[in-house]
This record gives sequence, structure tokens and C-alpha cells, in this order.
Amino acid sequence: MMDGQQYLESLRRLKTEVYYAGERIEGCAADHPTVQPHVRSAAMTYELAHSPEFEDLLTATSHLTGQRINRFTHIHQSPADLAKKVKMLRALAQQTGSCFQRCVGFDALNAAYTVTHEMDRDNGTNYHQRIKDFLCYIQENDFMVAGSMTDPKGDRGLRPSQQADPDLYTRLVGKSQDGILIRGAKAHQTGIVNSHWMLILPTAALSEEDADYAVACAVPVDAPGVIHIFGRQTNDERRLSGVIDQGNERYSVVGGEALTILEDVFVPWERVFMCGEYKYAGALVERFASYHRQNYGGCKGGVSDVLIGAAAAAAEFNGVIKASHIRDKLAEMTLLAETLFSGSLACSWEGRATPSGACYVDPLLANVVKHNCTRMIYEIARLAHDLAGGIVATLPHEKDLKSPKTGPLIEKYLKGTSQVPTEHRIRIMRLIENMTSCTALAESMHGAGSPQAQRVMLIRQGNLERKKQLALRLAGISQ
Amino acid sequence: MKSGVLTLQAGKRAAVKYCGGCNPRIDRENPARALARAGALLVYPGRDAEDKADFILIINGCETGCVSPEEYPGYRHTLVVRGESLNGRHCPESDLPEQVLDAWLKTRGD
Repeated sequence: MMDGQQYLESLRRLKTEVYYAGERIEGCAADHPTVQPHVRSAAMTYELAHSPEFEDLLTATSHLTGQRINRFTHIHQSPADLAKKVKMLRALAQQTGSCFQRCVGFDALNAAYTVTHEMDRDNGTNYHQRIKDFLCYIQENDFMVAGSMTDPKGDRGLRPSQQADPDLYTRLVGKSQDGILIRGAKAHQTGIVNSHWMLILPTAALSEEDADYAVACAVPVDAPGVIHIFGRQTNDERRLSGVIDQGNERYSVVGGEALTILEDVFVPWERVFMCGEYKYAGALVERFASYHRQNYGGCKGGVSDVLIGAAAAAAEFNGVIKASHIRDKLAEMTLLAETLFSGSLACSWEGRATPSGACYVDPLLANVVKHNCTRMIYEIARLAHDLAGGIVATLPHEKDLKSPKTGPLIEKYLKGTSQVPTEHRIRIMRLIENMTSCTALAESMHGAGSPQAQRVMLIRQGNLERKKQLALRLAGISQ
Repeated sequence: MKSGVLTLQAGKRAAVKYCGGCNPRIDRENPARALARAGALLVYPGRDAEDKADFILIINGCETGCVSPEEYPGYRHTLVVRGESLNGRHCPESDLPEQVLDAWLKTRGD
């Protein structure tokens, strides 16, 4: 297993082509100040695997090799494994207060592992052995895999093959004895500029006309034809100068997403896990989505722990921590965070074995967790704003705090309780601002799928017909 | 996050196994630090090839106790922290380091 420093060095050996702010990032993107906090956050997944205090969650035993591996490269073997995943995410998020990005590829690996088994069983293909070989390679080298599912989608009312531009969904454009050529793009790619591999999956259930879009494969993030356009985040320019105004200078906010373009990228057959089997695209999407939605009570639970702590500290620095309405709001924030965590644990412990032997979450409960997240994280943030006070939105520039002219004035007039330095008050407010800004909240809404996607699953998994029968029987209506 | 640099002679080993720390109710490192300060050479089961301790301290951050002593047989003496409890008895967090230290010293006949 790599540690944090070895992970960083491994990224420097890649030739990943990344663009940001109108130009190509020279050298390793992981060393760019806008990207660095995300890299540090991902590095935490490597570092804590070597820490006695966290290794129980961060490591696992490979069912393929018997070797000790980083849990982010593991295939879940039991409900207990699924629960450990959730707990690991919470532990990590408590350390970073931010996204550490590595769960997406983790979930893509588990989804591909389970569905390829079923494809081979039904069709006599050998995709499952390929994914096992790939998995052994990933585990042995402890690589970070980006889960690459989301296509740009163009006109949402049209199927992939009906789009005016056929490249708006990633597709097969060529096939040879050696492998395939793919073209298209993947959007919102969490952590991809600091990953080693991308695991490409189809983005939606597909029909026969869309068979060319039924492609799953693994591609190095620096393969010829792959380019990444790194996304902007709220207040990202604060990373270019100063520390305090960033709020969370070490780890920043959410994942550091990119738009990844695939310009006729060659993939050898041994890294192809689906090629035209459109009937299985829906299963792959559903499996991945449920694994990924499982996570949100873990990582957002941990992020919320930090935000609740920040709100409590802000109230303390403001001198109001003993007020009953303040304590009630902290109780409400705790209720919401623990509700998210409970849902993630529930869908894990209700997990079941798939034909591949890997364990799969309860998809209904996993979708409930993520849907709750689209509401509850906003409410937790709202309460944090309430507790912090308006100062969270009106603080002066860090340079004004350091200025000999204005610094003493800010020290004097932005003081809270006399025991707390003004700078501490400003720092905690900046952290709250960072954790509740637009990018952080929008990720809670749309990460792992937008709320409507979860509602579709709630109806599909909700067993509505049986519920109707229960009601009819009690109402004395016979059919 | 490592529990300090230890410079102790052989025979004073204490194995320490932590839970994963998803949401600890106590500072999990304090009891182990107390052992280290008293001269224990901390070793970590599964990590250290030289884990020849006859004493193991299992530290769970809460009463759920994800790490159970059954997973770590073979030690003559086992001490289990589960949040604010020590071997099944309530122990305030502030007292844990001292209680753990006392228990370890007794196992050594000190």
C-alpha cells in the first residue's frame, strides 16, 4: 500500500493533460495550487491506511490475493464490509472536512465486478475475469481509480443515438483485433486529475439502437487522447494567495471535478468490460448508483460533524453558546447528521450477496440516504449560517486583517468574547463559509445523481403494489 | 497520528489495537500515550513483526466496540476500552489513562 507521499510521487510520474483558466497546467497538475488541496484530501485515504488509529477501517484483506490492501480497492464480501466502508468515509471526512474523491472508483469497481459476472453467466463472455485481473493490478499498485459514468447527455429528452451530436454520450467508434476506440466525454469527474485510472461505465439504461454506447472499460488518465478541463469552484482564487480566507486551506471543498474528453482513445481488450451488451447497461448504472448513494451518510455525516463543531465554536466565540435556542439548533444539526449516518448503515447491514459473491447494498435504503442528503445538508448549512451570524458573509479580506492600518481596527471591532482572539473568530467563520458555499451544497444535491433519479428508484423499489394490497385488505375490499 | 516515539527495552511491550475511529466519543490515543509515557514499547498487531507482547490494549472509541477481544487471542492479559468503559465497567474518559496504566503495571508485577 502507498502512503500519502508515495501517492503524490506516483502522480508526478504521470503525463496527465490538464487545462485550467485558459491554459495547460505545466508539469504535474497535482502540484498546482488550485488542485493541491484536493490532492491532500485524496492522500488522506493513503495516509490513514498506515495509521494504527484508522487502519481497521482503511484496510481490508483482498478476497483475490489474501493480501492486505487499501479498502478503496476492495470488493465488499459481507454487510460488515459495507458498514466498514460507511464508517471509513465518516472517519476520513472528519479529518478533511471535505471530499476525498476515492469512493467513486471504489463503487465503479464493485458495480463492474458484480455485473460482469452476470454478463458472463448469461452470454459466455469473459469480462469478469478481465475485471478481476484489473482489480488485482489496482490492488497490488494501490492505484486511485476515478469512477467515470456521467456523460454530458446533451438533449435530455433524446436517447444517445438520437442526439444531434453523437459524441454527447461516450461511444464505441472502432474495433480491431487488439482493442476498441472510444470517443465522447465524461462530466463532473471527481478527483480524476489526481487519479491513475478511470473506469468508464455507461451513463444510462440503453436500447438496441444505442448498443454502441454500451461501453465499459478502464483507461489510464494520461492515455493518448484523454484531456481534462479542471472545474472552477466557489472562491477558488483564494487558493492563489493567503490562507485564512480559504476557510479550509489544507483540503478545500468537495472533490475537484473536471470535464474529461476522450478523443478516439484506444483501449486494449483486456481492459474492456462491456462492448455492445446494452441489456446490462441499466444494471451497471443502477448497481453503481446504489453503491455510491450508500456513501452519503458516511462522508456527509463526517463533514457535518466538522460543520456542527464549527457552528458550536462560532456560537461560543460570539458568547451565545449557553442560549437555549442555540443548543436546540445544535441538537437539530446533530439529528440530521445522525439520520444520514443511520441510513447509510441501514442499507449496508441490509446488504445481500450477488451471484458474483460480492455484497450489494439494499438499493431502496441507499436511495433514501442520498435523497435525504439533498435536503438535510442544506438544512444543516442553513442552521450553521444562523448560528454563525451575518458576519459569515461580510468579513473583510485577509490582507486587511494583516494590514498595519486596518488590522488593529478589525482586531478591535470584530472581537467576540474577550477570551478569543479576533483571528480565531474570523477563521471559524471562514471555515463555515467554505463548507456551506455553493459548490459544497450543489454537490450534496447532484453528486451520485440528482434527486429525481432517486425518486425513480424509490418508486421502482418501493413495493407499491404490495402496499396497496395491505390497504385494500384492511379496508375490507376484496379483489 | 502515531502514538509517539518509543525507546524502551524489550519485555515492556504492550500491543495496542484501535477501532477504526468513525465517530469516537473519547480521545482514543490518550490511554496508549499513558503507557508510552510510562515506558511501554507499543506494538500494533498485524503491523509489527515483533509483536511479542503478552498484554493487549484494545481501544474502541465508543461502546459499540467494533474490535472485540475474540479477534485477538493469544495474549495473557487483555484490556478493552469501549468509550467510557474499561473491561465492561464505567470509567470516565479523564480516568482512562491512569486506569489503563495501573492495569498494565499490575500485569508486569510492578
